[in-house]
Amino acid sequence: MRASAGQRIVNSLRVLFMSLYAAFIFLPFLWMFSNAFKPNDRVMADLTPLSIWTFLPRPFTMQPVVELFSSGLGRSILVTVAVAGFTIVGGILINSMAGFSFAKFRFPGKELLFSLVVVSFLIPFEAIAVPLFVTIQRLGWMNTVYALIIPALANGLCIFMFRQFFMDLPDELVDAALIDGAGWTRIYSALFMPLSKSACITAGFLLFLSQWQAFIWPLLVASSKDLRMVQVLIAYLTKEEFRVFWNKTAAAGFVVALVPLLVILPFQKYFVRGITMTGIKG
Amino acid sequence: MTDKSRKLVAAYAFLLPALAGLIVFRILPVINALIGSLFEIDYGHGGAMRFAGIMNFINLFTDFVFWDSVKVTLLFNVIINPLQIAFALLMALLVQQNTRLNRSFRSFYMLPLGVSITVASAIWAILFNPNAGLVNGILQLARISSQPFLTSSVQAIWCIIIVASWYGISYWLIFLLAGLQEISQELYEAAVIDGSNAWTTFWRITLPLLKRVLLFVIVADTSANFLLFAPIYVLTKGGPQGSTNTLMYEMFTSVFVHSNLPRGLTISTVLLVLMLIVIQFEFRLFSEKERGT
Amino acid sequence: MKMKKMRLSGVIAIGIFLLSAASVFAQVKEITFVTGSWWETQLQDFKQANGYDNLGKFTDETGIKVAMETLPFEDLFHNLEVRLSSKDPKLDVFAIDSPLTASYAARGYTLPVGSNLSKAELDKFFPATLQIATYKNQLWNVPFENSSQVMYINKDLFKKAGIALPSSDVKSRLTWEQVVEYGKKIQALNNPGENKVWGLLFDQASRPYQMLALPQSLGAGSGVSPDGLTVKGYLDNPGWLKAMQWWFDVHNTLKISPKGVSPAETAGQFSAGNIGMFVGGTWNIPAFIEAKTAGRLNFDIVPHPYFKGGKPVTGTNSWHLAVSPYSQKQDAAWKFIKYMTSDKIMADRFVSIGQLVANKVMSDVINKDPKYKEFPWVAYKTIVTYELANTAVPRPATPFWLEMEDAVGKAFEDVRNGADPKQALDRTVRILESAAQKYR
Repeated sequence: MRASAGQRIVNSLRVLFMSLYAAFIFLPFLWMFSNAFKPNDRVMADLTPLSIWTFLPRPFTMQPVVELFSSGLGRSILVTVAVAGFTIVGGILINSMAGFSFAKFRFPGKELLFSLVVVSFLIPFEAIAVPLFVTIQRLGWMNTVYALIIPALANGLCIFMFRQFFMDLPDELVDAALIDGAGWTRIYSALFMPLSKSACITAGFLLFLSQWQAFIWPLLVASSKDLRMVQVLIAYLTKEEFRVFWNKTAAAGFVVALVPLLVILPFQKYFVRGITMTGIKG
Repeated sequence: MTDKSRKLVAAYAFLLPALAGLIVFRILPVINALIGSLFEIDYGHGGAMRFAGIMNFINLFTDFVFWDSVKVTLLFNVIINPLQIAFALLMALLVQQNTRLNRSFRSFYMLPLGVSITVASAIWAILFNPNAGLVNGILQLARISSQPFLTSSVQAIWCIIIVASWYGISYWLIFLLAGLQEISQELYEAAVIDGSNAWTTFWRITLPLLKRVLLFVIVADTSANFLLFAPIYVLTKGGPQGSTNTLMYEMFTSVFVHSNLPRGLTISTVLLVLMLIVIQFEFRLFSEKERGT
Repeated sequence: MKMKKMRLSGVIAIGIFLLSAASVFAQVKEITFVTGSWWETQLQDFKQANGYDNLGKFTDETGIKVAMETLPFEDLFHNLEVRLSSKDPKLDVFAIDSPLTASYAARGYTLPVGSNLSKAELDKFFPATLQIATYKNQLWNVPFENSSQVMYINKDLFKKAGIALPSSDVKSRLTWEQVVEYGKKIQALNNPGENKVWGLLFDQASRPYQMLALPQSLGAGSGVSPDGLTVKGYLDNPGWLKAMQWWFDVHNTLKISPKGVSPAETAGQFSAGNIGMFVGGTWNIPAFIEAKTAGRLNFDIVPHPYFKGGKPVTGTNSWHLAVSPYSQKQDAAWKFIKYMTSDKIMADRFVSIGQLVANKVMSDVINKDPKYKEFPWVAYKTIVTYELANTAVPRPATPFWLEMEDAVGKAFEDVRNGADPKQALDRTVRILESAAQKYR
């Protein structure tokens, strides 16, 4: 069926709109890309008036990037990815289990426990920084990976999310499995989890990003040189008492943005129509 | 063991690991914080804590800075939450099909997630520079005069909204896409056969089936925005003239700038209550029937 | 028999005593020192210039290792807040921003020096540095670093605007009124509608460290009563109003100073050649030398200006060293501080790192070392030494300095962005009077 003129106009408007939004998203990256390769004082000098030189690095220098990597950025990225990896595996497991429980069971105390789950993500970190710090000290986990991973595994938002996804899977599935004689563990691992690919991937992103972005917590409990998470390291490398290295900030932002994208982009296909058809809803 | 008790055991067993983690690392510290709001620092005795009952709350409620902060917080959230969700939903609907064009756009829209919100805010600070920022530069090309942006007590809050949304919309987009993806293609095909247009399809099919995921996004976004911190810290520090001084920022200032932990804990208690009210309302709005065996 | 038994038990008693004493000393093998991230590069510079390790030498001399933990600037305060309020026993020595002396003392965050430093040892320090570390007649931390303020001139912009270069003689320094005139001329260099160059910019714009010099120069005081507990009448007096009005004017009426440039960006602007007059700290010199070598900046150093009819005043003070009252190794901690503030170490730090130090040995170095005869380091000799001795005014001692620094800083920033000076000051007085309640 050929698209009518009206449909074509709507379509072009649609593309225009999406492009404008893409431009908005891209603006800071444009700045980052142009300034990652400039000497620091040229960053401020070239800002105004707006010219081609605001965007093109002149003089071009790889120094900021080189300095970042020679000061441990590479190791920091690996540490953060490793910590995130453990968090994802452990996190998806325990949070999906909890979400499963809230979605498909009735039990005394369910309302109360679920409110605790909700409250857990309504707390500003600063309010609990001190008691958490003391807890980690008492456990003897200061400056260890345990301090970075263990507190991050149980994630209220993640539990909530899994609950919502699992509630959308019909009870009939569960009933059928029970009739077949399946135990709860089988129902969870062999039935629900395979059907929840997109939920798991989303949870994975959530957990990955929570570690990738982590700053205040690692700064507090794991700021030793060999354990520095990537955002903490960037703060160290780009800020001095009296000045900020804008070119290094741009370079760091740019390099560091690539890693999550390398993780996210390949998984995109699990979000789109036409590939994962659960055919369940409706 | 009967079926019923096996079920009960299973229910608690699945819940246990995550719940244990939440209790140790979130709930207990929260209770600690709530109790902490009942104490105050005794400056005369080298900083020891003494019981103050509800004095902290009384002092807070008679402080004009607190009420200004409440106003800013409510105004901010009333604008940003619907804005971000509607926009994220719109973008999700636009890019959900797996065309090549959509794939490119989607990759673009995911870009903000790679950067930390702190670094992103620092860069937006430069972009919003009133004298020489990129945004003003672009405006000048369109013959619009330079705007004060972060130095204006009227525009600053909008700049914060823009920065928070630059990041937030991309984040919620992921969850909404995942939710949309669950809706069976056959339903849409049937709707087309029935002669339904895009608008009706959205209201009759998409929205109802998206409800559960949408509730998650709304509640999570609300909490994220009430607790928004990094952009305000990097860009405005609560100013100009307190126009971006949300409760969360005021709380941070109390604890880490003024070294007044009790006042900070009092504010976070108030913030918690406020959020619970709003979220309770959101749950009611998307009321769901109790399910489960 | 009895004698033998007594001698034996005596020997055993002495043995136990020696063993426990040895174990006490043997236990203190390491202390934890928390400070800013800039120390990491500074220690490298120190080693390169002096040939030995700043912290390592202490270990060689005493056997005590120093575990240094560093944090970026703003995070340093937050981190210390968490550790001190949770009574962390693993924190021994930390760097304290000296104006926080009274605040930290009121919260029990630092141990008073008491008899740990002798009078002779204390006499080594510049009086102004001891003054800021004193609260309620006790010394709460040990002076370590110092700072001073000067004004940097962009020679090229002055030449283009046809202004004669100001003298670097402290006795004939510029007045703020003259600065405004020069600023207007430099501002006129811009093409219409453009704002590429600016006449005037302050290093730590809006921060009290930088700004207090304005009302102080007018004789309006530091904004708080002598007992450190009241602001009403001290923060909203005519002198303060005049200073705020001046601040408002240079940004909004005369427009010779830019808004929206944060302290992190200001030095960069001067390095880029965009600023005519830059009022800032001596720590900027290395960065400006770099820009000069690269041909981007041609600068000169002159004394900090003052208000006509008023007194010349400069900001001062910097980081001190403090011992945590929760430290389990206080003796070792004091030993470390005494080592770090000893003449040789302070002199070597000054020479290699470039930050001013609180030990008077610095004056000897400035007078003897040929480095200080040449530009730009000669400014230390001709300007800084004078300022430290005559015009340096420490920030006021008040237990609510944390609240005051925050509120006054915000007031300056709001006025800079166009708020009414009187309203801003009145609002600040309201906020601080309410904050001061709990300290009275």
